[in-house]
Amino acid sequence: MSYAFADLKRDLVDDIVGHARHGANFYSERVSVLRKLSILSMPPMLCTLLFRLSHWAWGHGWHGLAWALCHLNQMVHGAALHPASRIGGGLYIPHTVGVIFEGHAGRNLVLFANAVVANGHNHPKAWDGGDGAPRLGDDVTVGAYVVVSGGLQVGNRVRIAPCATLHRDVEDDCMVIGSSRSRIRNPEAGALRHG
Amino acid sequence: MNASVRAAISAAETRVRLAADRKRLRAFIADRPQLARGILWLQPSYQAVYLHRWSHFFFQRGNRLLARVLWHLNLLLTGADISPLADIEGGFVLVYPVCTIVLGKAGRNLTVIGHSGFGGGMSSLNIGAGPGLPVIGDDVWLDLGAFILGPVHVGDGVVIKARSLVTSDVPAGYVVDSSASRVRKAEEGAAE
Repeated sequence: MSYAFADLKRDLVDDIVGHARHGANFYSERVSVLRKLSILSMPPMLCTLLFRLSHWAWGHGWHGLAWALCHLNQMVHGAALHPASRIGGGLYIPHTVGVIFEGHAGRNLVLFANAVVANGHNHPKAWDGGDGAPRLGDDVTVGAYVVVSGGLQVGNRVRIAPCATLHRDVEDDCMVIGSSRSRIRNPEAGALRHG
Repeated sequence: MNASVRAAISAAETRVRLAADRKRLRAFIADRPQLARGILWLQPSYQAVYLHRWSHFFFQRGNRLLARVLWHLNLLLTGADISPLADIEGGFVLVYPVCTIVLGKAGRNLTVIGHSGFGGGMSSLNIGAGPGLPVIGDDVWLDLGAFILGPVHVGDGVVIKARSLVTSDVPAGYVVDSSASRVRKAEEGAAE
């Protein structure tokens, strides 16, 4: 899989546009240009940048450099993003800690904190970008603390709710809901409602 | 309080365990159908295990400062929080070290995939499945997000599937699974 410099540039532009779009949710209508530019120095963007660079190096066959960038990313941001993963433009990782990604995804992927997308029975070094890992479609959102494990296929526009565990294929436009709902209760009045 | 006073681990024993770790890690990679390239020393999987082995060695020899430095370095470099107290036999493979927490005693050929671990909050030690920490047998497999918490015995060859929590004893050869998530069509709203 070749990944030319033009591809890197195109994906990074998409990422920056995506970050600007997501970042706009966090401020009111009037903020300074400097504030808007600050998204470029935030951990989500730097993590994405390091991943893109490592994937670019991997595409050139410079595996050593790719792993070095991947490990730097892991050390600095706590996100283990496999350099062979093909992820479309608009990647957004709002909280980078604990994220593991080893697979392929389409455009506008959102990975929340502690999301794991991997084939748990592979060793990261034993995967070269082949199909033995999850493949996600476009506009997929992976919630916090989610585990997506195995060589499965997830369709477009799928949302995976927090704390879900997914081991099988999912069609387009679906929602995956975790099985562990917390009970919110007042110890004096007994069980009140499900969270 | 410690239930039994054990002889401190020797450097030779640490090297033997590390050799077993390397052998198993290489076999682990070679078992997979794809490539196995890259330098072992540059892999966080091996770095985490290596730093833990020496951290454990220095801890048992009474050099707690060095043990702590290596432990912290491990946390910094690889994101794995493997306590110097943890006593793990040879053949330990840690696949994704990020967010892994390990404290307790484990047998040979332990596999921890990632985001998982074992230990116990507020433990008052007594390793031997007494007041705080788990004791784990040989060939145990901890999948993504699986946790063993509290003073429990886990037998040989137990497989703990993704996102399962174990807080009671598991006999040898058992498989622990958690309930799967539901998939729902967004527009219909009907659960499958």
